[in-house]
Amino acid sequence: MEENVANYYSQKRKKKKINKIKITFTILIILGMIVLGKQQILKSNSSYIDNSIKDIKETKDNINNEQTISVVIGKQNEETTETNQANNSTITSNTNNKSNVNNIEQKEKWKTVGNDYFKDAVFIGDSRTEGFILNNGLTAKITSYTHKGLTVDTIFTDKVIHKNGKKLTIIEALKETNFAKVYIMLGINETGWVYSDLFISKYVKIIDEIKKINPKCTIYIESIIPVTEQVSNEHRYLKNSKIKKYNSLIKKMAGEKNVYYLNVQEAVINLNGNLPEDAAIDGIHLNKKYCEKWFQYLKNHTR
Amino acid sequence: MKKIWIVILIIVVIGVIVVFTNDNKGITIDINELSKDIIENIEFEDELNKTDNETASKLYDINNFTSQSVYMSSGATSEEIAIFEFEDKEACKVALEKANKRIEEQKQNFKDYMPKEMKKLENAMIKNKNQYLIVCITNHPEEVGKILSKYLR
Repeated sequence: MEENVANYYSQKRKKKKINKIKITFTILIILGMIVLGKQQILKSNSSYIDNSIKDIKETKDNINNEQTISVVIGKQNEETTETNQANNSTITSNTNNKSNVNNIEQKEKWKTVGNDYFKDAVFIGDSRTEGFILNNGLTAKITSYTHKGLTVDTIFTDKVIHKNGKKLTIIEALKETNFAKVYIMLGINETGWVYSDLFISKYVKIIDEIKKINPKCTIYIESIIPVTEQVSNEHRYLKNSKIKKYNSLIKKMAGEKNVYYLNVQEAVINLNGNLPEDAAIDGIHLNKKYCEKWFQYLKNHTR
Repeated sequence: MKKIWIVILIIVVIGVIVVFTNDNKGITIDINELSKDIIENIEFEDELNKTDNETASKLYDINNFTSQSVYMSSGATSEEIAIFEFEDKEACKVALEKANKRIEEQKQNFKDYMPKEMKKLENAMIKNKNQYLIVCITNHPEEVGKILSKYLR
């Protein structure tokens, strides 16, 4: 009897011990789950906060243009690079000794403006103007009607602009736009045309049409920016000699039509009159740095 | 007493299953890190520059992202990187359609102008995962996929 009682209490003590172990184990598992769960929540919160902070910083940094990352893997010919190294310096509009009297006179009358000046401007052009708008962060800030391969012909015929739920030609889009100034750069895609006077006659038609749409607007015709020497030597039709010829015809046309001619190429070409090799990965489409020089030229030459 | 222990054990097992299998909001991607990783480790022909929120929004016609990391080229090629984060999966699915539309438009823009870019556009990476949309146009979509998979684990 006494043994039975002793056994009973002994088993009871054992059971109590086992129960204590089970309780301790369970509490540890629950605590572990709580800690893991909190860590996951903290991790996702801190990522959200980090992304928000980065977004604010990004907005500030973009104003100062600090976030450019260049990854350039070009097809540059080393011999060409060495040959051009001595010539690879950019002249500014203040040091061009070939400026004629008319240019100097015009320079004295030009005003320098800020970005706000362009809020009521429309930029018309081909892929180079498209790149100009993008690289200067103007895509959402100003109106631009650009299209890759645009010519003085297709500006009237190709429906490449999405506006008000419709597809319009650039001239049609212009008719539905409020603007006070127009900047136009066309011609590089037409350098393969045989007849220069045909190019000019179509350019004249564009100016006449813009004047009909908005007789009071200010029209700026930009010179065609040359390509690099390598492209000029190797491309089938993009030749700086042809661009030079077109530019002198464009300048004459601007004078006759009483619109402003902007010799923007001055802002970017080297001493040989070519686009520097470091200005464009393909020798044609200006990179961000040179688009910014182009924009600065426009800001320094307004009326 | 035994029944209480069984109930507690069941609760613990269910809790463990829920905690370790819930991945609906489990993936968090640092989109700036991802885009930087892509730029540093993928061979691009063009110079890519980061755009601001307004430009990214206009180019892709997407307004409701919570953050973006979009890099555009100089215009010499069709190369670009566009990573967007949204509030939820549904918003991301709508944005995916807009991304597809942009790629189709780019194909139209480049097909006659620069036909050599068509290969990149045909093989463009366009992917959505939970609240993230990733677009990358490059000659090396497989390598981009490998980089992306590190962030999606």
